Amino acid sequence: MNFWRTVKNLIIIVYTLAVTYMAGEWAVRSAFEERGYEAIGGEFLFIPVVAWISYKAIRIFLELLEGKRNG
Amino acid sequence: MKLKAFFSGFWVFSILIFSAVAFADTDNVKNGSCILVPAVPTTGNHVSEEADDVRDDSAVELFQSTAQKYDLNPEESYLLAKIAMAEAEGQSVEGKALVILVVMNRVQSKIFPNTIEKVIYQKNQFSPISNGRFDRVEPDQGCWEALDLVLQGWDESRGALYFESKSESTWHRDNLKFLFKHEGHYFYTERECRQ
Repeated sequence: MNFWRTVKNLIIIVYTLAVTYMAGEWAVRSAFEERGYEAIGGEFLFIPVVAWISYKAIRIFLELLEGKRNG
Repeated sequence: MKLKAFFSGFWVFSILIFSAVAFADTDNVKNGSCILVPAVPTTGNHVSEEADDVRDDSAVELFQSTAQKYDLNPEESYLLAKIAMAEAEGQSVEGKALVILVVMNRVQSKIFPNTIEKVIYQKNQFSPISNGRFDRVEPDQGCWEALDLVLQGWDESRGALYFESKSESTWHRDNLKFLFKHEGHYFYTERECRQ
């Protein structure tokens, strides 16, 4: 059980970090291209939103697989 | 239960795929402002990230000022002011003028098209053209001042044919001759004088 929890947490962390990094990189680069110069703007608000969405998505999916959620 | 798990899995997979595709797309963006025309690799200078305004004096003989050679019509003036705005909006008048000078140097070069319009719209060269920013911006006062500066004969471009913003891409420094850095732009020319 502990092993599954560890694996589950690991999957959640890796998935969330991977998605957030890729989407964040895209957002920052796109914002830079749009502006034409470097600045800190709304694209940095996008990063925590993506992190939260990806975290919830993978967590719900794993809990459904595990049978903890009613389906 | 199974249906919910299926849809949930679908979302997880979709999010991953979308972010991966977007991330892969940034590789194209990372290549910077203007690119291509394969250069002949030789040993040459590389960008010094620490120096704010580094110049390579050996490049002086490779070019001559082009600005005064060109009579501009109103449409060409507008295009030059616009590309300066699209590429160097946050920069000084000199920074904008250097962008204009790169376009004009290309017009004079044998390896690029010979009109301002064709140089600006040449495929895969200026990123604001490909990403649509060029169509959205309007030149500000600084762009017109930059154009005036160039037309008065100011030319600190040292014959630059390429420039890029700071990026992780090493294409420019690997294939071109670094000239100098001005504000956020790194300027380059061909390693062998093909222009």
